[in-house]
Amino acid sequence: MKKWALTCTTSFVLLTSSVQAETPVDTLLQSYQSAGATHFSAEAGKTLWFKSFPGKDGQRSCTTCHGENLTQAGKHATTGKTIQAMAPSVNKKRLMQVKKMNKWFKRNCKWTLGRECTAQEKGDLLSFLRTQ
Amino acid sequence: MKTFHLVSTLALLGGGLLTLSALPLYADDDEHEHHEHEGKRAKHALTMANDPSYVEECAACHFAYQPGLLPARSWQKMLGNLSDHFGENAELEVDKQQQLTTYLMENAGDVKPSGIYYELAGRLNKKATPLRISQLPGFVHEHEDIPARVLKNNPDLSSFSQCQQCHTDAKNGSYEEYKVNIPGYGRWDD
Repeated sequence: MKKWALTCTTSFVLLTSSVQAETPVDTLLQSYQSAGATHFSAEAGKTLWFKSFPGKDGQRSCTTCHGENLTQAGKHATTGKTIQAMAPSVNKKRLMQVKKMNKWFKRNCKWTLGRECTAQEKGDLLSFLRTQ
Repeated sequence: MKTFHLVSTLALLGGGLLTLSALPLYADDDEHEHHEHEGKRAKHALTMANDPSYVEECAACHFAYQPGLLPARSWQKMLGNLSDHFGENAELEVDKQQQLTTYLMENAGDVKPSGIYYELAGRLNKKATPLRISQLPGFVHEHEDIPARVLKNNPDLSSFSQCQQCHTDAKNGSYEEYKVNIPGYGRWDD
């Protein structure tokens, strides 16, 4: 009986961890670790999300377009186009595709920070965003 | 403007039903509505921008401008410099970039002509390669009567780049004046 329970528990743990590892965010976090990033911090991600960087038209931050409230839609700073909410809790499409996340990290880090984000920064940002 | 409508309505009624079909729907450069092109009658409206990749990659940030709004050479130049796309980074993966360049060039205004493209770019210098639709000679002509105050401090309009804000049927490639509704201003007739 005990052996059966242990097997079940082990299977459950394995199943859970393997399912988790398959989420697109986990796939990316693993790749960032392979690139040398260490412990990811949602707090550091939050700080970076709200941090301002000098741009040619004034200060820029993620919130310039995405807005202060992640559960609400944002607005593109130049074109005025609505940007759907970033928080996965209200927008199920967020953080679901590795390709999309790579694309937007590249474009938006260059716009906001003036350079590509490091593996550590991207890992921190994803750790923050996935909790929203 | 309301006076204009009233006068138009009265004129229509006074003119009798028989003349209705002969009257233009709106007053403007409507004699250019249709154009002969290579022996074929080109349609006025533009073909919709409905390529799924184009919509996903480009319309994520801005209005899905129809490929027929610019000549092929303009699209080629624009897609060749997406890292500085009007001051923003809009880089695409190489295969996607090539796919969209092909789509835009094959459906460009000088490849698949329309009345709208003729109006916008009919007088465009063949050696010029404009990147902004709003700089096409016909665009400037069509919009020059709109006073600056309509755009200035208008929360719904940052520039002439947001076609769909005033042209209510823009997404279908239709830019007729009678479908114009300027946010905070209303209908527009000149």
